[in-house]
Amino acid sequence: MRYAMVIDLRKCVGCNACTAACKQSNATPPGIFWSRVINYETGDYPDARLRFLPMLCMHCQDAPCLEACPTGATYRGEGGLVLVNDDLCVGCRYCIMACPYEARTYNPERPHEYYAGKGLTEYEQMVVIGQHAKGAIEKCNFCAPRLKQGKLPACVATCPSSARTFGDLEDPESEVSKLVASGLAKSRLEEQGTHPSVFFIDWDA
Amino acid sequence: MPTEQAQATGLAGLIDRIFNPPSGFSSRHAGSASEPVTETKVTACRMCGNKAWCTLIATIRDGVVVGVEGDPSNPISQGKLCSRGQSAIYNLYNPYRVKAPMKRTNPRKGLDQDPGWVEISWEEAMNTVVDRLRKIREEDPRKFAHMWGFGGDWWVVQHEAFLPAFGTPNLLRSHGVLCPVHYGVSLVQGSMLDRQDVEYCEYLITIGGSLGPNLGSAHSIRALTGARERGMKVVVVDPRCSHEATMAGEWIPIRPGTDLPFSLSLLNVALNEVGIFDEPFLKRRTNAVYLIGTDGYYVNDAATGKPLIWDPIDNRSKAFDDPTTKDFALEGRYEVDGQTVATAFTLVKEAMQSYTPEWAEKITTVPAGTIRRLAREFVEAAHIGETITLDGFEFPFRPALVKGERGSYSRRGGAYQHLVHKMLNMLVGAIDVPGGDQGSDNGPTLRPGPDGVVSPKREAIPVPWKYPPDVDLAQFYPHRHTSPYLAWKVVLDPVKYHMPYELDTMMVYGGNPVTNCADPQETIAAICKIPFVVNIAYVYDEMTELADILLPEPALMERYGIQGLGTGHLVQAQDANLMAAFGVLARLPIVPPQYNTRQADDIYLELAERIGFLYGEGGLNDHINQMWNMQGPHKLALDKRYDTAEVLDRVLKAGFGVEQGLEYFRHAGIYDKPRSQAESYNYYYFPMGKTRHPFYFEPLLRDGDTLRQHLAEHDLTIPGQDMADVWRFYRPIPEWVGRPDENAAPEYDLIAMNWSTPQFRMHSSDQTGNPILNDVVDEADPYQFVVLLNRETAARKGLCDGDEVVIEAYWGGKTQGVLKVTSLLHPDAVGIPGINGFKSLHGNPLRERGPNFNLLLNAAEGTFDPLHGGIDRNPRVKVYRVAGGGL
Repeated sequence: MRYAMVIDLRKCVGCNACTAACKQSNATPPGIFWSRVINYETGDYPDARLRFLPMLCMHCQDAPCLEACPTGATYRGEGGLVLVNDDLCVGCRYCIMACPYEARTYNPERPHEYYAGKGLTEYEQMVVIGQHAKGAIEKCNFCAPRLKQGKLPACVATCPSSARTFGDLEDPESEVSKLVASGLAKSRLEEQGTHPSVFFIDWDA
Repeated sequence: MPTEQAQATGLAGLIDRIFNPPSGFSSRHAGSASEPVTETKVTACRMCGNKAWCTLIATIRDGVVVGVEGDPSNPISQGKLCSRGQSAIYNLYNPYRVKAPMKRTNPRKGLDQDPGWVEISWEEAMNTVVDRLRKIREEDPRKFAHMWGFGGDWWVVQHEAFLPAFGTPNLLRSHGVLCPVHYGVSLVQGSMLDRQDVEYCEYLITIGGSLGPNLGSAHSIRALTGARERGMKVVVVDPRCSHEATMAGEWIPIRPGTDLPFSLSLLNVALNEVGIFDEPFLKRRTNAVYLIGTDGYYVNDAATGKPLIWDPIDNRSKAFDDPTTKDFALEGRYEVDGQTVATAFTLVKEAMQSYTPEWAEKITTVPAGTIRRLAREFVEAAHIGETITLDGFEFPFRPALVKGERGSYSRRGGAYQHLVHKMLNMLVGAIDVPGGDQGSDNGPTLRPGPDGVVSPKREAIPVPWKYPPDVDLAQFYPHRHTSPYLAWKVVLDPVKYHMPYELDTMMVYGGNPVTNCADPQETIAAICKIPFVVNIAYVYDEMTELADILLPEPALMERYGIQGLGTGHLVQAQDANLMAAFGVLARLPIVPPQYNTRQADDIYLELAERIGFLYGEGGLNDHINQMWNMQGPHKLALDKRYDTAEVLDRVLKAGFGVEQGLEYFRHAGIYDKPRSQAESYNYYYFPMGKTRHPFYFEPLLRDGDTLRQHLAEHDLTIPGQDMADVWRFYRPIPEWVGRPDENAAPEYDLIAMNWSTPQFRMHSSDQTGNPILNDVVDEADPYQFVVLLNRETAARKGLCDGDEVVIEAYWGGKTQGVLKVTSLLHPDAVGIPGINGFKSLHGNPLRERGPNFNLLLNAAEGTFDPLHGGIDRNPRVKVYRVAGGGL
């Protein structure tokens, strides 16, 4: 089993439903993002285009972050997931330096409230606080708790244009395997030798 | 009952709520000592603030909503939620909510005044309102006005029932002044909205709107994705390179506010240069063949009164429906009863001749060659002559259409432009058939009148005349969509506007006219002048700050609601699934109310009962029965007081045929009994030979002349208007009516524009106050909370990224923001996206972020379209660095 995701940039409209789903499903504190779709532009007027860059942890098979972690907090989980054990993390941030995809964030403080100056909402008290520790590394886990329940990652499940496909790269019959095998879906920064589990179909493919 | 003050502060509020739970809400934290009790509940979402049909599943742990996700059982939303839906928990847990009834203690009003809120009991609040309204109703019910907005969408009692039962005509609507997208489609297709059928469309020219991405509309994004995979081409005519231009098509940058010349020119080329039409459609399905007299009206048969056509085989005129007609003359001039008459088609063709692509290029900057190419591509993509069989029924197959939206229609000439798009679609026969331009209303909306043409419906039916007019001057502007901005002028100067009475009380539900209307300063001044203002409110905002009494309402997940499937602003691009949708959504509260709130419907029912207009014929119950078209044993009895849940249950049973009523929605979010694919197209109900669309807009001429007569009878002109200018908008053939700011000084060299964004489309679900959405925008979208300017334009003006700039409109309105240069914008445009920059003393400071576009809009007579009432969204402006500011 190797979990993998293919993101079809031809379908992404940059609506960031995935980003909000990720925040909500993983109860990330303010300013902490495990997944995001950056809106940016290319070209000069009138040939310019609005573009969208979805970014999340690539769950690399040769993960520089895993090599860099001195405490074993970053570990290889089931299905090839790259995960972090908060209890072992000392917040040294070597992994952040090592990750070429800028997928990791350091959470320097105890999660504060979303409504600034108004205290934690009941939702935050119940959910956000328990899941996010001060001084820990924050990153996408492919929604491992949802995977255990047989659900797709939140970003995949909610994407209005179904730009994201999720599955097992070791199963040659899976949709992700076919997209990767066909050469349509490609990983990024291949020259780094990271062997990511996230692949992209280019907008001009 | 906890006090507002205690609830507003973090820990104190928490302790207070745990140890002193409000009545009816005692079990919430009971399970905390043992295993948490987790359950899931389904409910309608509606975080878009309007009418989408998505449902969500909430996970509730010990009474707290801890998660939401899409509902896979909903055939329309198919398990998806947009970013707003994903942020719904913060709609529920929101410290800026109004948590108890409040009364104002500071008599001075204005956004700079602290109202001095004091918490009061529901009894005191309702007594105050009842006493006031009872007195008005006895003296002069017209002195009561009701203001409504999309935040109150989904209620079941509704002002259509409440106001007639009370006896006032004065309904004001806070929404719509920037969204007059209804007149054209009401006239041509009898529907509320027009939509694009992307199940079959192959070529779509979209002008001034979004097919879904700008709106973050999950189902329309899905439909658009499907169409793109199928190969549909989208031509985006927009000063801004949008999501869909990137995703699926060709971007045609156009100077803001000049869409009408573009569309007129497109029509001219199609008519006079390409010259390929769907002739059977024009001859047998439009009034293009009707003979028009020199007075502009149809030439009618003396015996039957029916409009005449010309039969070129028999070489004589005949009634339009004469069974002996061998052919219809599409073009030409003929002698009828000594009068030279022309076909409507000929008149239109001639009238368009001056709108050459070279003329349009000068105004729009779109190259003449591009306009010519697009007109030809459009006609050639329409597959004229082809058919498609769906469910055994044969339809014309016309997979091409031109579609405008509010970005085009909200301005002087916007109604004409809507009609020009209808004419283009009629030229190729792409109206209410697969692949083309669809009316949003279900079923037989194309029913013709005695003249054989689709009878005008909805806003195409003029508001009946009376004098003095209603407070929003509906009788002077009988096709206006909404005109709260006129009501403010009337309030401020009743004598000028022939108003013999002054408003005493305004009750506001779900609307925020300060944020939704043009010229917020005029709006605020008028509201402050109304002696007594009641606001049913969910959060503190600009409207609450101007009110005398606040009646707090529950949050979405604590609230009942109902919404029929059919028309919906969030449903733009439609696939077969969306087109077939037919049924209703209803919601029950999925968590108990956290605060001392009351469902709005219950407030209205109690007011009616206590003031004395709930019961009997003509009472509120009677009007509710009528409004929901209720039939059978579950109609409301006229002598009984119901609560919201009971009314909703009966409406579902007697109005929508949901046998289980409200109980059905305990376990399902949506009741969808889809129509067949054939039934999804209105052509099915009135196929060829059974109705005709207006290609020549005789009703406009007629309605204008009727208004002229009424005004003459009272020796009136419309206050503030140049009447010669007004009558230009009541002509049967659309024309270029110019821009309102053509005489502005040359220094106002740019044109402002605004668009919806996936996160911030409306205020009505507190989108701009939602911290998750703000967080997402801050992380992902650098094009919000900024002033956007074309890179070369900025360089020419010596402006750079990060400069603090002022945007000043030609009439004096100003706003301010941080500049971002971009190549995604026309060089003449100043882009201010979203709905930002509003400020109120007790409101959420997140709402204050970014420049406020509406400060640039005014609503002076002569600037808005006097037909559909849309105000100009694209004022001329100048941009300059804040003195002493910037980098």
